[in-house]
Amino acid sequence: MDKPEAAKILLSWRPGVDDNVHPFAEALAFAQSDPELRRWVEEERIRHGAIRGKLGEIEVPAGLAGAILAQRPIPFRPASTFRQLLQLAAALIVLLGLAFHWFAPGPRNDIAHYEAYLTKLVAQGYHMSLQSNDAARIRSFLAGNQAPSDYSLSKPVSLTTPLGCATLSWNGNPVTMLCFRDKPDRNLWLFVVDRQAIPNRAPNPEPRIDQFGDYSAATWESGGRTYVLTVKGGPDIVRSYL
Amino acid sequence: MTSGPLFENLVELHYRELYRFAYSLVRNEADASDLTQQTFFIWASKGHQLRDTAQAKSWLFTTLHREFLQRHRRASRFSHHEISTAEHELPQVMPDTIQKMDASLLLDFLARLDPIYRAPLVLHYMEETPYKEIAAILRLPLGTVQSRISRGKQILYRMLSSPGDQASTEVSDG
Repeated sequence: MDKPEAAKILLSWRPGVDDNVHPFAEALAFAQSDPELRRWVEEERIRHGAIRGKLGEIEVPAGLAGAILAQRPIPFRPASTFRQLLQLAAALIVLLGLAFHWFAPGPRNDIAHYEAYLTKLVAQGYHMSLQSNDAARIRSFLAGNQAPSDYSLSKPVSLTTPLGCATLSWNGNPVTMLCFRDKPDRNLWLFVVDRQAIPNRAPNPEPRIDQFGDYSAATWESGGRTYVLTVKGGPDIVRSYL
Repeated sequence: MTSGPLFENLVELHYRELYRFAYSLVRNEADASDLTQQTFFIWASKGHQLRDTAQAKSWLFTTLHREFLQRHRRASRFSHHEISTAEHELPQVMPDTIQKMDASLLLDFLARLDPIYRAPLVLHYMEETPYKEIAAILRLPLGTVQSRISRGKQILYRMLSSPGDQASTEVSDG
């Protein structure tokens, strides 16, 4: 080993980490025989420690861990025998539920159930998958997560502030939930799903407005999608955003 | 499949160092938080595809770095200047210059490095894992990683030793 080679190796040496690792160990040994390299090595120990320490000083936002946990879309659990048993039990329960559903009178997958489900979701609370005021970023996030992202917004809705989005599921079909804020005390929720997800519903571009407790919902079809716009308040309020 | 930590444990174990890595790359709290959250979001969506959860940390760093590069490419096209310094020349900067330097200023200098040098150099300082693992995180050959660290360090030390003379090493729009 010569001096240029030792110098080249030492440039990527991490003091205390690579000391006994090839080829750093050989370069360090060589440096002991060269005054200039020896001095650089001693100084590098201090420089490396100082820079490492300063990177460790980067303050982590207090609420970050909570935000990560709140926004995860699907809780991930590692596989285990116990978990597999739980999955089996859950599958049986689902099968029983489906059997009940198949033999129960009346459709459960109609637009009224869908609207009621969405309104209940809004009223009872939810987690947003992404919090952002950037409309383009929201659309890109949804596209990346296989949720409807080719939605169009009415002019009044497009003038509000986007807050974020969530990806939901309705009978196995991905549903996009978009959140907007118009006034400090008024949020809007727009849900978009493939029209095929809700059978027995004739395409209707004219919004139909229903009231569910304190909330109103406008529902219409456009471009192969079913839209539901929900807002707290009476029909006149939701109509003002169409 | 190896049994691994729960999602909550994984967050608790790694979110701080992931955030610090992200912050060193983007130099912005909102963007660093967003990158960290997006990394765990991707884990929650796809992490179960990882057969060996002992590799979770490396997977998370790889994912964060990939997200950073994707956003950076979208945000701006860039080119980097090859430095003229020979690779074997040891850069000089007095240790006490760095010791006395405010962490924020050091991060400013790091942020001026071309991203191809910035990520390897930050991991060089932050991580104590073997270089083979850092190469895996960056998806680069081992030799390229070490070469970029060397060059990145030469540029950084040159900036630190003469803060007013850094124009030739900064990122420029391509």
